[in-house]
Amino acid sequence: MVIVDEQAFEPGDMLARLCAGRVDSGGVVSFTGVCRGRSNGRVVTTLTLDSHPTYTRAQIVLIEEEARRRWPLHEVVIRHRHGRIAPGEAIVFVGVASAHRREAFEAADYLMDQLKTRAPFWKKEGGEAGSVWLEPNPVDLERASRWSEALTDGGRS
Amino acid sequence: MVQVTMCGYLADRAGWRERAVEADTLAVLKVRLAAQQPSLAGLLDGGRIFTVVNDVVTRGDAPIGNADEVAFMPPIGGG
Repeated sequence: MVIVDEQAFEPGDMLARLCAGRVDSGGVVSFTGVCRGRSNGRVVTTLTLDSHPTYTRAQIVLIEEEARRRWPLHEVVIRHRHGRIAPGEAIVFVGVASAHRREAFEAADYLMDQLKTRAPFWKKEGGEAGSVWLEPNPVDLERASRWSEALTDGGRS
Repeated sequence: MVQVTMCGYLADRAGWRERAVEADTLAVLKVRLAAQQPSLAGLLDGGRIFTVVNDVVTRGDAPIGNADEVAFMPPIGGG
């Protein structure tokens, strides 16, 4: 399931709904990305996420489909907010349910690495001195590339 | 008319986010946009900007027509 909208959401509610009634999934793993109040030494008062009305969701759906092909998953929930977000508010929620915890942990990790580098959002941090558009983070790109290496070495890592 | 969408900082640079523009190829479109807004000159053809036509990344030149949507996207920084 992929939800991309401007609505604020409670990560706890998302997790509760993912867990509810689940009797075959021994493992449910979730991650919540939260808007920070400081970034690169600057105070952040507002984070604005720009997106594309159709392309953004389409790319996230592709990422979910990749995860489902790589691991045997019972459910995937990706909720990503766009628009104006205040420090402390949730930006993204990723939840994965599977029979066992190993697949859930790995799939959630994979999904976040892919979202950070391939989900079409553009972040603008607003602070006391004005706003700045953020550049891609090389650390995120390096982390995302390790999943390709894992495929190359037969998944031994 | 082609529907053009500017994403991220490109919208700030252009001064608008969505606009209808007359063009029958991507190359013509980029020239027209740069002519309308000199701050876009050299940017849309640069290696860092993605051109997405009807939700498909498109490289080089291509024909475009009425009801097509062309979005220009900077490098992604989401999540």
